[in-house]
Amino acid sequence: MSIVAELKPTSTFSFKPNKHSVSDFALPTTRVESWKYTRVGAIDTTWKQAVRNENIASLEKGIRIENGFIALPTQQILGVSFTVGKNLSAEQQALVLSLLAKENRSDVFDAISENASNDLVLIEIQSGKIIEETISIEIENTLSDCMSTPYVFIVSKENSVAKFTVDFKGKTERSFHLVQLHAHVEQSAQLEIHQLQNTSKNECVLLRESITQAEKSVFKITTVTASGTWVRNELNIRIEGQHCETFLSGAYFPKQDQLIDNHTFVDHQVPNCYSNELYKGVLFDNGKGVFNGKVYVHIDAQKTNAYQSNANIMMSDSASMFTKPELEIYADDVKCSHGSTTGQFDEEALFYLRARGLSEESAKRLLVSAFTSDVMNRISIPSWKEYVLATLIQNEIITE
Amino acid sequence: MAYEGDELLENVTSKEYEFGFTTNIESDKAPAGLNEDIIRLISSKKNEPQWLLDWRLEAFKIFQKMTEPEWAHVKYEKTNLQAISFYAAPKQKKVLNSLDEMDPELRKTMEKLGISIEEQKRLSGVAVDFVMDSVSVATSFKEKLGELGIIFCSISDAIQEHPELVKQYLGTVVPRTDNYYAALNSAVFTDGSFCYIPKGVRCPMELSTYFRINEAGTGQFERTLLIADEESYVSYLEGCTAPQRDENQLHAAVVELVAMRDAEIKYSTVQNWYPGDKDGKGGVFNFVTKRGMCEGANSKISWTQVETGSAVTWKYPSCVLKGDNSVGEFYSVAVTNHFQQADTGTKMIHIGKNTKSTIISKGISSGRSQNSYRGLVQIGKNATNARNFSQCDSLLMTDTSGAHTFPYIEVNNSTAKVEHEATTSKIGEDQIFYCLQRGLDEEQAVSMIVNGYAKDVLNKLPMEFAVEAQKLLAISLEGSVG
Repeated sequence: MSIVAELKPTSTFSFKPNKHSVSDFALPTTRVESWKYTRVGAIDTTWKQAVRNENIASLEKGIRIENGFIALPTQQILGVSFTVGKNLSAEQQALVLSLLAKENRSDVFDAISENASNDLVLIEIQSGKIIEETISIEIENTLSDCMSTPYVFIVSKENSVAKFTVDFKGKTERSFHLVQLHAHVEQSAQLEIHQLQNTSKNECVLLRESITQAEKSVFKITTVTASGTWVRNELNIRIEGQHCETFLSGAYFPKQDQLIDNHTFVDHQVPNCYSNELYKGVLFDNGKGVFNGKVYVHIDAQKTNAYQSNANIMMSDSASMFTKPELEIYADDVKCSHGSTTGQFDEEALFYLRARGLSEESAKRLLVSAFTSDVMNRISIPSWKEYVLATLIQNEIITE
Repeated sequence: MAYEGDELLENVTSKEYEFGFTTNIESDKAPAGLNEDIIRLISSKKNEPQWLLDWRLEAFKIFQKMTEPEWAHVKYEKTNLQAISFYAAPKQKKVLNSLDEMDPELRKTMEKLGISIEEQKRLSGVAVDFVMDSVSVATSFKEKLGELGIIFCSISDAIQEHPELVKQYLGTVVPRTDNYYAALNSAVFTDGSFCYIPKGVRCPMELSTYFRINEAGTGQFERTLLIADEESYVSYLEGCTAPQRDENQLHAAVVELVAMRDAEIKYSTVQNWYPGDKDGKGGVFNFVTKRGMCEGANSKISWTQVETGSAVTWKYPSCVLKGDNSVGEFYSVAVTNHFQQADTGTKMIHIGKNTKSTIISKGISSGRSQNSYRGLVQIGKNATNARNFSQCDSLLMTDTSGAHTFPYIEVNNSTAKVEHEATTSKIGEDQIFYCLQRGLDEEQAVSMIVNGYAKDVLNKLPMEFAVEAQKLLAISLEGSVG
């Protein structure tokens, strides 16, 4: 195991019982089904751990995670409480552990997170509170060759409404984000998370998200990956209460030699729930895209209505796309469907725009923005949507 | 659904296998176990040339280094290969001149299967190469086909009479190293069919083979090799039934198809091996490797299958679209009932330019069965303008069964157009209601809906087979489907 030179927990909260040791596991190879198309070569080097820095420039209305260490907001947000690892009460500790226990997974990355976590924050949305302001989470590495391993826990209490934005930034020469986000949406609560990943060319991201939903809750998430050399998003959503709604969407734009991998898992454990998944990708240059969406309907989860869609456009002959939309269904009275397409632009549409004086480049970009607009329209925060679009324009993916 | 679902289910599960009978023909059976001596024994019994024995032994070496695959969505107790016999030939040494000389017991089996050879000859014009256990015992219409230059015989005969063709093509589509069961088959295959259609010949009749596992505790290892030379056409039917046995029986066949320039092969299968009883006891393990190579330009290979039997099915008839403008098709209906498990689908490997493939898969799950579609569509770097359309639908008849879809789509060329869609549902109450309104009873209604659901695939079967397939569909879901 070479990926971390020297493991030491820098978090003041330790995970007990500490189930795994990093040395018990090897890095996954492409022989492992869920890593079939994703080589881990890019992260298979020795990463350093950052030293705790108490002087992180805090944000006003959000959390800043720098090199894995967490700075809480300077201003209070009514109805929201933030607690870092060392300040967790016994009750909160139990809550955090119960959230962790819901993810029944053991591999090298979880072992690294458990054993070498930098820091931890628990965000609780108080019950019945509607949080008008958007809570932002900014994740950035500033040190080269470093690996950051923060944990974020979000608990949306009963009847609460909250919106989060997660902004992955990065300007380092080379670094690795291993971020764990666990959220629980309690009864009748609504939680939205909107993410943008725009790390520098040589930054790697492994984002592991585990969401659980209680009765009548609504959870929405969008993930836009604009840049990053090696990005893998694992999103597991467990629906534990009836009458839930779940929307998950994403857009990814691998360029040059980038790899962007989205693994989603929607676990319908109970009847009468609705899930809707929409992922779109545009692949440039030697870009490689992976999409693996799985919908699992348990026995007796009747009246489940699950929809999954994945569409891709190949902009270059050397790009490649690997799609695996899966359905595993053990209940009979369900409506489940998925669709997946991979193709290129409609030549006629391109011709139409060219005939109206657009250059080929801008015509293509216009078509990319049209193609991904249904994903972008799921971003319910106007300012954030603008920010995401501006980033995509800056990265020369879409046009204004 | 609230209507007598339980009652229907009861009827479904109470249906036992109809074709469960055993023919008491004395058979020549090799001792149980798998080792080099057994392979030598098989080879010598069949008077095989040295090159083939060497080929088998090499395959056995490859096999020994492999492990049984576990990725399929099926659970079963692994077969102990040392406990089964790898060779069982009916003891019948005379060369037959006419059908009358045949063992009457054997004739009876054929008649029970409803493929009395005379009848076949007289009525349907289907040439049947009848494979009982592992040795081909009767081949009809050989002469008539011979006039056109078509070679249709058992593979053992082909090895004796046309060694150059066998040597040239054997293992080219499914190499020995392909997978665990293909390696096993290459080492111990006992018989199967061989077919060669010469240049420019359109085979005037449907060629047909019936497989049947008869002897208890034997594995069946067929090897089928079908070559369609330039500008030829052939339609090949394969039907399978097996008598009732308590132990699980292993079947690991390899089918290789080669289509040269402008050739077309249509390969249809109806599989109704013993699925085990309603408690999930017994049944056939069907681990088959089927692959077609569209070698030349403008060639076409079309697989059609109706899978109703076997306790465990692990089968992916595939097409390698190597020639430019070649076409691959896969049409499948898979029905599972009781404790059956099916993991079936296809692979479409696009290599040539302007290649096209179509996948239509219809799964029907009943009882406590699990039915999975697993398919790969791969577009190579140089496969410009490749086109694929896949549709995988699942129909769930009970709340204890499962339907799963595992499609793999790998695209490496920007001019490719790949579409995949899948749905899972049950028969709608409104559909039933509509039929009841028009005077049908519930069973007829369900039957009609299921038949309509599978129609896209059934329509692709040759006439004679379509009738049989519809009957099988009805038997497999008897009670809920009229």
